[in-house]
Amino acid sequence: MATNHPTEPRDAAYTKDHLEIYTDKKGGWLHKEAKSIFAGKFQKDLFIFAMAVGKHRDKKSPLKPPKQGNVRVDAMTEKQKWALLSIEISETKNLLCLKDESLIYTKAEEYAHEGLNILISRIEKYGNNYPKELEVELKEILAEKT
Amino acid sequence: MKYAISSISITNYRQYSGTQVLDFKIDKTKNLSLILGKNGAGKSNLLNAITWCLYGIEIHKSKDNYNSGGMPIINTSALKKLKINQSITAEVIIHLKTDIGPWTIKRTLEGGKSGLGELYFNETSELTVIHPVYGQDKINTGEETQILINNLLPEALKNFFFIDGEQLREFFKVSTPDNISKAIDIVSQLELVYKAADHLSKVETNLRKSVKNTTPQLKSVQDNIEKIQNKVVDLKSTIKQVEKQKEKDQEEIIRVKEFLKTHNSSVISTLESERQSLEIDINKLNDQVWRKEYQRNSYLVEIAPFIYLKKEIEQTYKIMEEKVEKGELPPRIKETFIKELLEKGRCICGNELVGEAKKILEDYSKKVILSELSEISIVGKTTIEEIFSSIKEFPEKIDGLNEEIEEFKGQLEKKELRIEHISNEIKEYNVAEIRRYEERRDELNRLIAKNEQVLLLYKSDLNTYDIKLKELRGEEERELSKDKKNNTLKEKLTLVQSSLKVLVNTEKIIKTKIRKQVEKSLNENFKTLIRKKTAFSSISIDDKYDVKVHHIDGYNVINDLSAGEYLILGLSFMSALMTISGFQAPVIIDTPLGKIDDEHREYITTELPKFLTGTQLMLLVTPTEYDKNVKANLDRYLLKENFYRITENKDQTESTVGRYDGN
Amino acid sequence: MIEGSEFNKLILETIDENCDDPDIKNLIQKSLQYELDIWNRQVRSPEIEDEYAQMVDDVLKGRK
Repeated sequence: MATNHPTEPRDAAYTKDHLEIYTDKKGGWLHKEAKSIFAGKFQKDLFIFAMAVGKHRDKKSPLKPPKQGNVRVDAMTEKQKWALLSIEISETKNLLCLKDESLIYTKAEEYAHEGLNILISRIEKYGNNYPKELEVELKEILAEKT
Repeated sequence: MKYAISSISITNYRQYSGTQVLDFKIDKTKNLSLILGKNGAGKSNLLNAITWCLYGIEIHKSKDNYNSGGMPIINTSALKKLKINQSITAEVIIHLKTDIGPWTIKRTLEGGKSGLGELYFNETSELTVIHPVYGQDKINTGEETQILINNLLPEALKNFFFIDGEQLREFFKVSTPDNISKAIDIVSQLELVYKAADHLSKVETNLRKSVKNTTPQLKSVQDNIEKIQNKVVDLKSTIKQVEKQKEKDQEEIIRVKEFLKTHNSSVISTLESERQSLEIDINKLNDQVWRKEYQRNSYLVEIAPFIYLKKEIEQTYKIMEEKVEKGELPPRIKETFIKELLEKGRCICGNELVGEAKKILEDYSKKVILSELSEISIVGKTTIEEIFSSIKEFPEKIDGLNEEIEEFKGQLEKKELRIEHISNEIKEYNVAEIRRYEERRDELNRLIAKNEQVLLLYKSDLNTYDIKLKELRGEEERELSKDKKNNTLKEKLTLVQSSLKVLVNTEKIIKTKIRKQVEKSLNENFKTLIRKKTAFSSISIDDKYDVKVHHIDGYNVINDLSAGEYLILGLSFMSALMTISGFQAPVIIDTPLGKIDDEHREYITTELPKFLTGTQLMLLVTPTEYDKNVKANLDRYLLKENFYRITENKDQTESTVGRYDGN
Repeated sequence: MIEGSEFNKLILETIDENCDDPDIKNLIQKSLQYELDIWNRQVRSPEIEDEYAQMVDDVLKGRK
């Protein structure tokens, strides 16, 4: 529904350094034959994932220019968008920030930026075992008492 | 140009002594000609006669003809009857009916008995072609004559029109992606493009050499370019060698497997059959494991962000609940109006908006904003509730997926273990020859795997060289521009290099276009010939030229087909290539139905002539193939004048061919 | 369906689709025509190289 998020930006950006990773081509993370956990997924999935990692680790950094603005926000699912919006809502403890979602997306880009760096290290470290490691980590988070 | 064979005349060729003539009546709807003969009677040599006449090559490889020390082409009985100093000629004449007039193609091979009573044969045969040129018959002999035949049907395409049924049945069993790629290459006639690229490359090298070396940097760059280009040439040649070796090894392994499978010892043949069947299962299971893992990973990528942000999402939900509980009223006054007032600093009643009044209005303005956001929030709340339920089902779902993966892996392990046992059993068998074959099988597997790795490395090196060359060419251009004297040469070099780039890209694009066309035709043809809607969903040829036959459950069953299905797959492929090649030659198939079950025979014999309607179709069949049902199906496409039979003499040394009335 | 001897049509079409530069198209067409002309003939390499060099010159001259 276009009316759900009238102030959302058209694209979410990443830094040129990460261009290779976000590009769907042979040998890349997103390619359908890749051995990576992201095989066959889309840029938006990678972006949201990286952003969540960044926020979870509480690490963000502004994007170094030049930016690439290729992640289509309208391709994201409602669930993905609300995961993203919840970052700012929980930080400001207020729904007012929803007035201008473009600012929230800028923050999300910063979390995604650091998040992807962290992700790159983890995947390099664990290689094919990364899915197992991820699974263990997710289960541990669920077991934590809030 | 469309053409059909109107007659074949064979003299003293192989087991055909004297002159045998077959005349064919050409009819658009009854496009079938049948030649009936037992195995060994001379059927395949009839096909050989045709290809020998056209190209000087016999395509059916029989054990007799294969070795050069085998039977001579000239009929042996005729040779025996020769007197001293008498000569003899083996001859095949083909008459073609074309849409521009009749053609005659004759090939002869002379031999004889010398003065000393020794038999001799000429090394090469002679080709003569008579064809209409501007309404008159022109006679061609000599070197250039073969080119005329290549215009009718290039030699490289002959195997797609003159088909050995047994080879066709085996085509997809043993074909490597390389063979498929080559077949498509041939049909695309990209040879022109390859040659042009090759020659332009040489021009580039020559141009480079002729540049006056005005700066030391330029010389150094050009030297580097040449060095790398030489490395590339060497590497490409090495890659070709390794690929050739790999192909050889793959062919050998198929032979070794066949040897073990068909061995006298039932122990060995049973074990090998079991092993081959296990290998098919293992491929299927690997596929299944890959799919499940893909599914699991996809799920993880989807769910992980929600779990990472669980705290934030829960807090958001709480905030929303609070706001909603407080009950936002629909705004009686629009936010924009309030903003204006605050900006103006004066209320509508005229009082100044300062202090408490200002604060109240500001607070109210926030509430109004929230109201407008409440619609969004309600959607958000619902969405977040969905997120919670996704998170809740995570542990069970991920464990379920992992269990399925483990199950498949367990089965895989069992089968791999069993294969190991079989290998050990065979290695300990008390027949030395069998042990040797088994060891060789192991060795070949290792070699093939190693070569695959080696090829990957080489190809990655090629890539690196490519990138380096690009950089260097850029540098070269910059250096050349520094001296006006080199301008012309720079222009030429740029033109040639850009043209090369376009040619290389064009090659890839054309090959892809043709591959996709072949894939499309292959699917259409297969569906038509296999007629019954079976468990196959589609056939694909991927960009590595790997052919896969997709089962409706998703597995690739190309290693699992019956003889009939392999034949139909082969026919569909050949037919796709025939259509795309654009050549409208007759189609001749030797022993199309051998080893095929009744059901598939039924499909092939009812669909094939229809399928190739308008094309002259010649089938060389054995009496076993030509049973009652096949006869009934083929009769409607057959004119009685086009039905021939090969009969052997008592000693089975000579054959004759004549019209057959069916009795 | 594509005519056997006119297979060049597909090749030329594809080149047309993938190249805007008229000089490059010109050189490629000349090369392919030449390759067709010497098809199956034994032509010495120096002769082929000369012919190609001439083609390059012609294309550049025609440009001016």
